[in-house]
Amino acid sequence: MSRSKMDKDEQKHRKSSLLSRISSRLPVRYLVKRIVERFLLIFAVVNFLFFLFWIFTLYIAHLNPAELYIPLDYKNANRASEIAGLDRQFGFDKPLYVQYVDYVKSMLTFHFGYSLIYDESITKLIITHLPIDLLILVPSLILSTLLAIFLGLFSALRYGKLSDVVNSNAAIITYFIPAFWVFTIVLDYLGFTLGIFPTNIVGALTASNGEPLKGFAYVAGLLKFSALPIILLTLLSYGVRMILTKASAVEVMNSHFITYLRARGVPESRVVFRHVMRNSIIPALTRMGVDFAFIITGSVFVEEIFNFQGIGYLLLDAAESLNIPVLGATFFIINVYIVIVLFLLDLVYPFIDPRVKYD
Amino acid sequence: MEEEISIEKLKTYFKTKSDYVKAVDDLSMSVKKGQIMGLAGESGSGKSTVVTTIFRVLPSNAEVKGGKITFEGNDILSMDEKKFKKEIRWKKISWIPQVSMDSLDPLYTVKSQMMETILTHEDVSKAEAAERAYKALESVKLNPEIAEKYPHELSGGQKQRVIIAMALLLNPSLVIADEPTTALDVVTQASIVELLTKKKKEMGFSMIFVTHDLSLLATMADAVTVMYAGQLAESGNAETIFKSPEHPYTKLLLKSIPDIRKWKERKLYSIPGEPPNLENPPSGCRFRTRCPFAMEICKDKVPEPVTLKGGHVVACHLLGDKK
Amino acid sequence: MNKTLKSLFKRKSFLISFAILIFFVIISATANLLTPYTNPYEFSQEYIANPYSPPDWASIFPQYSGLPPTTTYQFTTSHAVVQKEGNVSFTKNSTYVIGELQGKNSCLNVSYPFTYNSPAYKKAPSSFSLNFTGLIKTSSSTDVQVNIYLIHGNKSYFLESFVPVDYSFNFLYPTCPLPVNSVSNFSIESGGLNFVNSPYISSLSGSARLEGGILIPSLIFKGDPTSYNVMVSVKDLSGGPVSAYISPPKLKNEGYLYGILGTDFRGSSVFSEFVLGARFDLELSVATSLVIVGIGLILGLIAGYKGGKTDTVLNSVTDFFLTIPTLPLLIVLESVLVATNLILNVNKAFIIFTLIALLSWMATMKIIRSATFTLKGRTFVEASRALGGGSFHILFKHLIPNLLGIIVAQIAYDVPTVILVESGLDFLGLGITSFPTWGNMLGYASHELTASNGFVWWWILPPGLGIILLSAAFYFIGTALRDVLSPYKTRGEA
Repeated sequence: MSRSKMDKDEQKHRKSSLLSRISSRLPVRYLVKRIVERFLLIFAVVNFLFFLFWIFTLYIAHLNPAELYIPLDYKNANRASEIAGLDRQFGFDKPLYVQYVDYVKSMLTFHFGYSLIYDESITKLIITHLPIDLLILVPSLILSTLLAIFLGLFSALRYGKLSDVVNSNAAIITYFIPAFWVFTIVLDYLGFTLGIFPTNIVGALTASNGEPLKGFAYVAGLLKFSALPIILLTLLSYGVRMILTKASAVEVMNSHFITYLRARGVPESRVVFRHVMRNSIIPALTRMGVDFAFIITGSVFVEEIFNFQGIGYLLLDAAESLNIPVLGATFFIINVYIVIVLFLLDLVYPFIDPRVKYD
Repeated sequence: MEEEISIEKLKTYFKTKSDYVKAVDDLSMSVKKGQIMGLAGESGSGKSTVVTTIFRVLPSNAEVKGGKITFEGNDILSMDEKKFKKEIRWKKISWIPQVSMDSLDPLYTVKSQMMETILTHEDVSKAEAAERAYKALESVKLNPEIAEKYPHELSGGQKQRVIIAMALLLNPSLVIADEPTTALDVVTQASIVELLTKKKKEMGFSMIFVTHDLSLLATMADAVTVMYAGQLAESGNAETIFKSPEHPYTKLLLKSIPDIRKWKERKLYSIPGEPPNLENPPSGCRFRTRCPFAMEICKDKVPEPVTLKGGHVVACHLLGDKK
Repeated sequence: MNKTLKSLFKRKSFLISFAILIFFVIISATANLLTPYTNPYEFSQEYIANPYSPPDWASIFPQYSGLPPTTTYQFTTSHAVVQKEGNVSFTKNSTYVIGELQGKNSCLNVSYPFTYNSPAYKKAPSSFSLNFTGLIKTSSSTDVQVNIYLIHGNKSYFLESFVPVDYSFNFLYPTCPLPVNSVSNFSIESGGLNFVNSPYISSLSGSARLEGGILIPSLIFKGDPTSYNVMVSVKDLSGGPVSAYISPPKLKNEGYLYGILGTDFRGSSVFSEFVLGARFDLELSVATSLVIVGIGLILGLIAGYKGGKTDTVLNSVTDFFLTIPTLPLLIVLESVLVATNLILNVNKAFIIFTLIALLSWMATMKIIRSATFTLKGRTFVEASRALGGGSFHILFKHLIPNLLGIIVAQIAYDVPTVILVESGLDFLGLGITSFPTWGNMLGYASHELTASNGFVWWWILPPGLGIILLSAAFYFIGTALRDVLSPYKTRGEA
């Protein structure tokens, strides 16, 4: 066999094996089971929301959501007739089971209705509030995972030495630093006192002449605004993943296959970066996946301090004014997002760790 | 006959908080070319430490406190690390660890780990390395498809064969098998032993076969070294050791092998007591605490190894008496 | 047990954490002794000093040096220096200086000397207040006058004059009504003084006359000398017999420095907020954590021990709770519960306690469940069951003692979680707002921070550091306890 032919064979072999691996690892039964499970979960959430917002407010607390639905000064319309209209529209005059079916239907089909307070369709409201959160949260998630892996391996390679002790304890302390506290102080100093970073998104996206920025300048403004929260979030959230990486790296380095690799003469750099690293980042990656699923849940603090309006703001604002449609829809969307990400994680996981199988 | 490897007065200690654990203490042994040397002893007797010392992959808390390991005329221990890596490691000496030790990286396929070993030492194309990996697997009677599998997808016997293939990849002249059959079922054990002896005949390497099971050595070893608590108890050719052992420890070990011909006796002998704590071993002879023939002198003096006829070496005061 | 303690105290991290915890426990337990305030967020406990006052010790920094501190002079009758004019006799007891006046224009001057180092300060105090109780016994036909002066060196400032209403028109300067024959409180706030109630201010001219209440501290408390007097003077103008009971006054100079940790935007003591916040956070987090671990322990034990269908159901419920985002749910539940007024009579702290407990037990449940699974498979449990040990016997004899390390550690680990979640809610204004917690201190402080009042470090740093120190202390204590109490460790199995 000529060498090139061998290479080709080799490639073919590898390709087919990858394909067969995917198909063998994605059994349909497993998929169906998982999807049903996840759907039941979402269904349970809808029921919970119906209980909380319909049964609880309407029948236990005797509150009419429709009344809360219309702003007190809404377009000078006749409020009473508007409310009566909404009652009809929501079907508050219908039997409870009809209301239930309608509610479940509207949630599962993502028809959340129209918010009179924001004067916008709720779906659109959520979609417009989401990107700014992701712009800040996703990069910080990735950066903090990289930082965690780097520092975790660093500590593991110097296990027990002073640098490891300092590094590990610093990471542990970050668990307990209230993020909103640090954000406030740093923003006050770097933003308000020194003026290095913009203190609110409107300022960051407006030129000095008051015109909104466009094109490249817009992107630059956005980057400048998001830089500080991204850096701070990264520094405050790497801790857990760092400790996970370190613990697993220490375990991996003590495992026999590493000794056996060294005995075979595999170069130290290769042992560390190919074998130790790949094995020890699995817990951190898993954690990153879970954190990615729950990424939105803590955004309210970042938003509150850095003065921008994302999903957290939407939720908080709706909560403070008891805007039930927005509250329910936002909470539901956050939940659906979590369920979907966790589901995708389950699918991806066997490719990160071949020991894990779909079962 | 020429010596493949010889170990002289090797001392490997492990550092603890306050003291040293003398895992290997003044051990000398040698392996003749083309022979199988059985290295026997209870668990914790320092057999595996000898192996990791030879490969210079001791854990960071271990120190070689003295001794020489001569291989091809050079001392492995004082050799330049680069030279050792380039000339000897895996090319000349390879290692078959115990299967239960998880000696393969769980995240890479068998093929990729075998190729990595080849490519580390030889400047060949990837395709050639892959081809050699397949061949090596075939030579240990494994289906080459196994190459695409991950370690956790293999059975114990398959894993051990993969490791044997790994050890033989570069045609070594010395193979050190460290309890290669422990944790395998009896049938698989037999087939692994058979494979090893067959390979040895084909490829002509010498072998150190480390085991806690003396009976296993009876059929395959040319020579046997018995270790107790990090020290040499007795060594000699297999026949001498099995037929006329001199050291009480060897005698008791042989007594504790179940003999199928005496199955009616039904009584399994086991050596009373436990191996000593090596951080603070007993003075004099380390075996004296369990030895039925212990004397006054055993407490005061470490028995020097005495060479009897036919290269039979025994470290016991009983022998000094005979002289 | 002794051995356990010994190995605990061998750990440096445990020792430091334990010391920190003890510190917070002590300041919580003695909060009532450390601070006279019970709730600094209450209106009556505000304005004890100028708002945003840095701590006293901050005067070692150049930017705060020379600021007047907040000082309180609580005089006693033994300090009283009494002067008599006319036919007057007086006695003192521990609460009153008692004077008997007889004859027209007889006068009793009770003065209390004090020193105030006004030359050393760059500024006068922002305000002062003066309080005492008095009883003037006389017939209604007697014109009697109670005058209050502050005397600085040889200058005296006639702050207020109290006379019975019937006689008020006799005076050219403003007076205030004097109730006779009843014990009454005399209270002067510098900010409340103006040209219609203060003789001194009405004697001023121009804008000083109009802004007297604001200016008066700076008019009195300035320059040399350092000797001052508060003088209460009782004057018998018509000659009828008058007996006067005058308690020693309390004088407070509200400066620009205050106490150990300064003041917040209300002028309330940050130190007392910090101490009371510590007490609340400690109580709430430990109580909540106990409940969390209680729920997790019970469900985990049942699921792990029973296995089978019970386990499947309990595990699914736990998974359901795990996929629900805790903070948004807390926000939703909080707002619904509060807005629907259903819990009007229930303490808000109790709602937060319940909600956090109900939404945080899942991790504990999972840990206990898997530990129970492992234990159940161990020889000693199987042996006990084979010997006919009942479920309860196994549970309390084998499972719980072996889980003790995990349980204790989990309690300690949950404390920081609760502190952080509760503080977060308070910070957002969804939690407790009516009394101090570390969380709402941070919330108020960060709002004020951005409202360009400068970096109020004495207010914003302590609660944050408190949260970090207390949380980390619990974490390290938990880790130490888990390691020491874990039976696997002692058997060398882990």
